[in-house]
Amino acid sequence: MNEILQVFNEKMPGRFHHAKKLWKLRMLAAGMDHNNVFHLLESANSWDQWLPACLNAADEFMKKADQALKDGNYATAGYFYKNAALSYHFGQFMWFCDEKAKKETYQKCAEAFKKAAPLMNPAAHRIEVPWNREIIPGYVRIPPNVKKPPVLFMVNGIGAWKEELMSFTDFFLDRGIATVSFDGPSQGELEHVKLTRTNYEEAVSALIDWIIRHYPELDTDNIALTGISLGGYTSVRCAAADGRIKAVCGIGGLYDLSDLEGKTPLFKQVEFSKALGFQDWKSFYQHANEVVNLSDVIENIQCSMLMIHGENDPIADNQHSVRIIEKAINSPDKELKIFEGGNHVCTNQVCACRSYAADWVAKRLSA
Amino acid sequence: MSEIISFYNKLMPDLFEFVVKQWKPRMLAAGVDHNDLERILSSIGSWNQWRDVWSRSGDEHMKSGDEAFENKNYITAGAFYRRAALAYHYAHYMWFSDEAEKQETYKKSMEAFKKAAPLLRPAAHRIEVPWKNEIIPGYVRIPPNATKPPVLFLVSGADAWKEELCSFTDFFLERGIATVTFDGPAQGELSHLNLERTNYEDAVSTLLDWIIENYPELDTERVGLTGISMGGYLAPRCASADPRFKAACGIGGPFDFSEFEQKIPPLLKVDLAHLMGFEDWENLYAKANDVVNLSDVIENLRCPLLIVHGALDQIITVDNAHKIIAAAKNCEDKELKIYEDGNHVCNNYVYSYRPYVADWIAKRLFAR
Repeated sequence: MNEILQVFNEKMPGRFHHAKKLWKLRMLAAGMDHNNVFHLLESANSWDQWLPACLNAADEFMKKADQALKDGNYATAGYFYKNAALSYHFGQFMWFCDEKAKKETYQKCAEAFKKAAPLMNPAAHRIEVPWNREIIPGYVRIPPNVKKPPVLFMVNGIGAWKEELMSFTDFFLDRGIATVSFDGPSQGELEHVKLTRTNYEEAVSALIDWIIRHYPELDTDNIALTGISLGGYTSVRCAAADGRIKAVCGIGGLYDLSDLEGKTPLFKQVEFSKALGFQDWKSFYQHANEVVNLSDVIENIQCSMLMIHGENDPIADNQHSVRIIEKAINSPDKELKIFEGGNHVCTNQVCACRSYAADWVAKRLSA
Repeated sequence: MSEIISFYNKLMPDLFEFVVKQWKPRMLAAGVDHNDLERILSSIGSWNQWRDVWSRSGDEHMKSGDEAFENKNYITAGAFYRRAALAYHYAHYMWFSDEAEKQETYKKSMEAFKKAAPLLRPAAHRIEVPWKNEIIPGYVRIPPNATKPPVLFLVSGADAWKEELCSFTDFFLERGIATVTFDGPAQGELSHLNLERTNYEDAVSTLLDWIIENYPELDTERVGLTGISMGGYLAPRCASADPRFKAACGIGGPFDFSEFEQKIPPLLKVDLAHLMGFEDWENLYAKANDVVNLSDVIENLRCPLLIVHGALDQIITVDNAHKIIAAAKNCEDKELKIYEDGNHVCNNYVYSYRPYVADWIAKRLFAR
């Protein structure tokens, strides 16, 4: 085990109860039922019980879902598969203490979600897009009764992957916009590919090419990106690299990792080290800011841009969004929106924040 | 002031804790945002601030709704108006010390929901149905892309009215069933009427006549009923009285009020006295069981019946559910579903009971 994970293992048990409180908001924002969340949080009293408790809850949901499917209750089956997927997801998302168990559990999440996808309303169509020697996995959802809808690409955060963010896509679908959720480098099914300075935008451009070719029923002249947390950084990078993107919205994003040491909370540091593939503190602190950094591309942004940030974000200070807006000197239409009292990614004001982002995107794509 | 209201005023110091413990899951089930709820509850120190704090939250959501509407962000506006309606609703609910304040606050909830209705997806169409000298107000929602969908009447409870139950209608709509929510006697916009032994089923049959006449695009040969709490009593009552209903489901409802004095918690006694229009204890205890009682009609029930109850229900004991099922002698397709650690209306198992009920109803209404 590397020295970064060793520190994680030492500190996590003592901070578990505090961490649970933060996770609760994320679990609710992801669309888990509040009663389940309460039951689940109560059933794990210490860190070592967390993954087993989540596995229990998820397995129960799988059983219920299989039964509902057998009975022909498809909407119910979809609902339970989705809740199973999310329970597996939150079981593994911080489980850095056992890499094998983490991977196996995420695999279960991905499989459960695959079963939920066709049963959702509107359905989520699974796509698998070749890119270099990898497959970018994703889901396309199309709003019913809309002719040639514009398209929104939902960009994941560091540990918030396509399954967790599916609840956000509802806000765009409600407004007549089709959505593409996917895992890019370092995320979900592509977790084994480490994030480099430019590989995320390469993957996204390949994904856009593929969507244009395979989905003629979508208005691929009108494409936007929305990303949260690390996705608030990568989505800006993608928009700078690909002129086909008409609008970009980043929520709780980063300009760079210059304040990694000292300012970023320990557990987030651990997540970053995993996503970037660093094994020791020295090279991590030395090189992280070379991997995550907008300075080389920010002036290339020529599309509309909205940066949303929580006033009290303890993970990525709101100054990151202020800087992004300042430095995007070639964007003709840019806006900074600070949510008063908002936390990281505004999960404590999730309805207001998501509505705001979706309305802004809809206006730019003339949905 | 009636003796029941002065009794209520004496309960006030303990109400905040009781109401939060009993009904927080219910508020979330109705669609109050969890972050919003935490903020609201943490800023209420005692019961006498209850109405003010919720009303202020309602005002804020209205403002955000108006702003979104002006900016043509209609989906967002609808969501804010709906949250405003819920905030005003909880502001007036269990607030009995001043009837004028209660009415005024409910009116705000109703007006906010009226604004939300056309902006919901699918939209909720406001209907106003003449009945005797009154108007039954309601909302019809129709699932998109369904041809001739069957219909579900959602029956409100003693204090959970049409605005609050909107979140439950989504479960039926997803399964291709149109929904009708409404206020019957003693509820919402008809709260000036008292609940009597037979006036509710009377109103519902009139509502069904009107829907048949005015909504030819719905399959009115296939109409079901689902009710919660008091509505869990009223739904089987209406289905017993009107054979046009093809399925009935009651959740957490009483069979009768024979246990009223011994088993019902004090605050609920006040709530139910208000519903039936009693002002003194003697009358209330003597007559409640004459007003709320299924014994005269339950044997007429012939359509499929599902009764759902929480075994830990502290408001209406689970014995009531067993009684309803046992007394429905002429019903061939009946089912009792007990949630072992479910509370009143199984609000702590919303994620499980609502799909269960909606699937059960869908099976009965789509059966060929």
